[in-house]
Amino acid sequence: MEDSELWDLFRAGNQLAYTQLVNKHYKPLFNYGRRFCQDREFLMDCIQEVFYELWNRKEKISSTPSVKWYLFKAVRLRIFRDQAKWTKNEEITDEYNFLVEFNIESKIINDLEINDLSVKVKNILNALPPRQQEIMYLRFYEGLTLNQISEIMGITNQSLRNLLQKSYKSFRAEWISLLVFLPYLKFI
Amino acid sequence: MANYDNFEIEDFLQDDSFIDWIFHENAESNAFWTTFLSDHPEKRTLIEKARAILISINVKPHDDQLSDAEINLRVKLIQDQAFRQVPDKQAPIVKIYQRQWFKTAAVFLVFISIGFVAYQILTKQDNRITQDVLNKLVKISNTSKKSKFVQMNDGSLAVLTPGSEMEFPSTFKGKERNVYLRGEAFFEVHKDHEHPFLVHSQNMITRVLGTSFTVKAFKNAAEFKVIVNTGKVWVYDQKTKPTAEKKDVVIVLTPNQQVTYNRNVLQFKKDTLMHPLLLSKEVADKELNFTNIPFSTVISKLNVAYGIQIEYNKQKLGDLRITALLAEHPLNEKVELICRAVNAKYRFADGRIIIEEDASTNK
Repeated sequence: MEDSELWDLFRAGNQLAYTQLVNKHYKPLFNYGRRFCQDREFLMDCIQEVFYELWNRKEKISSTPSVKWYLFKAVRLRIFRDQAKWTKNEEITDEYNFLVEFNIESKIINDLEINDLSVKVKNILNALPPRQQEIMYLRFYEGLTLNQISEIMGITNQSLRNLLQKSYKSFRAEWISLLVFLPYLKFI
Repeated sequence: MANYDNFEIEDFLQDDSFIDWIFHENAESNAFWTTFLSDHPEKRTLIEKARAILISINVKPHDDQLSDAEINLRVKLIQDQAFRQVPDKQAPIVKIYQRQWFKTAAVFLVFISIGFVAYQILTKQDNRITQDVLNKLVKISNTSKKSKFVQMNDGSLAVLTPGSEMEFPSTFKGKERNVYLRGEAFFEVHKDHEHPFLVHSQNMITRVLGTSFTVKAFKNAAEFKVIVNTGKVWVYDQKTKPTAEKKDVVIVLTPNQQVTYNRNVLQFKKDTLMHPLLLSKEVADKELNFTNIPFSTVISKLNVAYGIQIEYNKQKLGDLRITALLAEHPLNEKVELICRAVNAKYRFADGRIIIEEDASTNK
């Protein structure tokens, strides 16, 4: 059954639909949250609370174009909000870690030229700062749209585009250096 | 939209509308790119290559992966929490088995159970948590202002302080006895060398064979604590599973020692208490062995020692004098022994301990 159908059933109070949604989204939510939340138990508490609140507020929740987006947003918000409560006395910074290592599925790539290119793409992605890596993770790995990503990360569409421009700039810089040096490297 | 005529592969890889088309095809973008390709057939290979690269981008799984068993357990916890029956006065009472969802759910459950059992037999791995899933978890939350007395089926006891909650299987099965605690509880664990007793508080694990100790692990506290009354207790972080080679990651505590686990820096600090605990053996031998002592004194000593409030009829029983050696017995036996001494009955109700005069013998 489609997410949207399950979502509507759940909003009508169907426990099975709710359970299926929890079952389906638990792992992606954990895998995402674990990249910026070091405490796995705390993360699981946050996910549980999001789902619990969802059930309690089911009458008030509207239908959503993407359940995944809704849940990612809710869990991310909860983690950052609760983490702030814990570290009240510490300096609040905008910085956080996003642990990710991008890979290229080599099965799909069999062409030598694009193989080289994809290695470059991988290196560039892995060299980006955390925030930009989170965007790339949500975009390429979770397949979310730019609008959805800006809402998940709690930033405006404009600042998301600015961040993307930054990424592309490092793409370009990297690209040029790679294009200049790589051909020579092969001969060394 | 950008001018795509001079685009190379790398330009396509940075173009948002191209990426959106690859990941979120829709009628509009399909129409655009189909037209573009028929106008620029020479770009077809480029576009196919760019597409191949985009869809091959993947992410290395995080080191910390959830097992299926763990997910099952978590889903179960969420279900339990969400569907906990809250009496609804307005709703007409329909017996649970008459409801449509129940019928559907029942059929579904049978299938899931068969699948689950088959999966278990086929894989036979990590059965610690799954066994607890099969085995209904009992959840006890103490929202009252007094400590609650909790009994487990292996004979172990816990005194759960206000604002705390714990979960444990209705029957312990498998190699380990697993208990999950949020908040503070004092445990008197029934000795069973074959089946270690594990208290999980977030990622801190307290492992014992049979002893008494207190775990303090409130969700928002920066520090967790384990304090030992009797016996030997092991404390460790679940991420550093102790093995024979890695014994040093485990903190071993003996009576009147405590360990403080700082959750921010993930470090354990061990120290010895200035004053021995009331329930440690040396003190208990003095304080909890009674010779010709009023019943009311005995009760108040127990109340202080365990942080509980035993209910009884002070007028009728308070002045009776008893002799009882209680030091070596767990709490439930202590209560039983003093009741026998004054010919009273006791019962455990909703975490409370109530002592009542035996009506039949009074007459």
